[in-house]
Amino acid sequence: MAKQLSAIVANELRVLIRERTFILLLGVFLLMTLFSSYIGWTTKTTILAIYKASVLSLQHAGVTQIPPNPFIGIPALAIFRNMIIYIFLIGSLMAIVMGHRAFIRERKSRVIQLIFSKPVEKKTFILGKIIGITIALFSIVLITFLISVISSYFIPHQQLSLLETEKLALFYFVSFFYMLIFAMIGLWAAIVFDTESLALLVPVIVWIAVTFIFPELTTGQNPVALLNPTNIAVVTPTGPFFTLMHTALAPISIEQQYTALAQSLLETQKQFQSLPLSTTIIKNASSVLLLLLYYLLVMVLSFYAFVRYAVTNDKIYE
Amino acid sequence: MHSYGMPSPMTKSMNNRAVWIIAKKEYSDAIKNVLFVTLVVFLLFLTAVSLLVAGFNFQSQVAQYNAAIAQLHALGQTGAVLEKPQYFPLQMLRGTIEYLEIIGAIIGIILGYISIAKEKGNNTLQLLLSRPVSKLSFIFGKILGNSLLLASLLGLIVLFIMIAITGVGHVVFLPLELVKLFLAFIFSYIYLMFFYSLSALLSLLFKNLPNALIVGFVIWLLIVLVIPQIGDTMDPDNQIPGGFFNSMHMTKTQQQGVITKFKTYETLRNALEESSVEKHYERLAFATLGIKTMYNDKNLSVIFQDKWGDLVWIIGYYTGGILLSFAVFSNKRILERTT
Repeated sequence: MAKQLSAIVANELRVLIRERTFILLLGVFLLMTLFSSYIGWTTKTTILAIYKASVLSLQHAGVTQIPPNPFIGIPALAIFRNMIIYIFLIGSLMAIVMGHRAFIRERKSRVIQLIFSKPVEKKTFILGKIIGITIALFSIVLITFLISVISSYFIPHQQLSLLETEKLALFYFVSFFYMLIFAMIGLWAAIVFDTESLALLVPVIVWIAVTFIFPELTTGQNPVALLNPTNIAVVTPTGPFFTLMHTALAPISIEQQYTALAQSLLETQKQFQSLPLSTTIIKNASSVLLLLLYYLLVMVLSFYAFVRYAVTNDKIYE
Repeated sequence: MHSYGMPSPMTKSMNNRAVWIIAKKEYSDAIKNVLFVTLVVFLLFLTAVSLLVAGFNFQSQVAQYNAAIAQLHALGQTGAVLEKPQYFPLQMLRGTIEYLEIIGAIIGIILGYISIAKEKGNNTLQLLLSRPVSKLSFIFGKILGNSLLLASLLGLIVLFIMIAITGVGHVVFLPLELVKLFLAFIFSYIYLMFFYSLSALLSLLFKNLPNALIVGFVIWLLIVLVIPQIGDTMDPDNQIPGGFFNSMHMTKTQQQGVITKFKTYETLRNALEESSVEKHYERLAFATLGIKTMYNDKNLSVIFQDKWGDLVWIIGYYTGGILLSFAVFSNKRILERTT
């Protein structure tokens, strides 16, 4: 079994890096990781200069009571805050495509029938797929972490401390689990649907519901407004309807739990700054558990969907 | 196998009957397509969600205002300094427009994909090209059918909005508001048709059709979500909740004076936003519907005086997409290679 398992995992990784569409998404994701540091840095530098220019303008107008600089003490990690949004948008979509392609490929080429004409167990096969996707996604997240760390060393006055590097590493580890959930949804849909485009569209609809509908219902914010990291840092529901929705849905909203955790780790607000890693984890223990729970749920769902999948009668339409 | 029942004789010019037959086939195929129907139902659900959220948001504003007035009265003050929230039905459509930007564009992509994929997947494209139907008729038939389809979809959404706001909210639209609503949905049609033509173009270019769909999604992600998001997060005024310049208590003139000193940064940020068709559509729709408050209750001439550039951009994207699709479809070598 171990030999078969490693062969399936190795094949999954080998085929994945030959897929042009996956490479395209990966390229966009890695580029945006690099951009994220640059955007964060250039925005930070500009707003500090704008504050100075604003002070001069106010002094010139005769204003004596100048408001204090709201940007003082911005933590070094805050320049990566856009990554939270890129994980929602690009990372999750890339993960869906990974999960989708992992199984659709075999179904379309009818390799699946060939594989199961040999003494291969269904459980071994699906486990191999899951491990392959997990390793591939972990490698991608590791690369993005390294890009972020290396890019921070090239930005003046932006060197990360040991605690900040640990927090950044944990942020990427949490993001890895978040993306893995979507990869498993993509895999599950590729197993259960008979139409290739529907198998891709259903996880995309789930992704839209998680990324836009849940946060809108629990905060009352418009969908696009929640793509701004400044807005998501401060949204609080107002009125009885949104308070009720927030109470009922926020604890089970994967996006909101991930956001809360990511914001603490990237110190997007002053109250999170310099908190020890253990305190940050303990404070967000429920979010960590929820992410793990969702991951286990969709993984088990994919596993059993494949166990029940009829290999010989399989038909797939475009 | 798809049967079009094409008329004879063979012609290279556009044949109105052929165009109409293809258009009707496009329409009937799409409304039977489970992908399309799923997305339409989803978009209607999102329209309902966005109207519900807008309604509850307005209720919260009124409740906050009443609470503040009661507090001021208790302190012996009049509360005249507070501005009472005004209900403008078109301003309730912000969420709907944003969902049209996101899901509407996906519907356009799916339609463009279905439109070409069904011909390529069933090998009816070669069959069609061997029949007496010109490429111009074929393309126009496809565009007409999908235009009618998107117009029906947008008509359904407008009807839904009117029932929700007039029927449930008991608010009557003024004639100018109805005209503005109609115009906003014409802009939505142009925007959606751009994504249709983009996806049709990709489906014509790719031999592996699902890859065309994935590439379509990647372009959608960049145009609709990522590029506008970068522009938005780089906005100096968006760096703190409530706005940086508000926190500094600066007048509009003072703000502009400061911003002009950072021209390169602002030009770069604006160029990013300008490169996205979604931003042009949003600016145009928000101004027309008065969601951008400075245009609320303004005449159309005032709005178009400011926003004609955005209108030109979205029409340009739409025309460009259609022309490119036609150019690819007319290229025999590309067609042979990808079919």
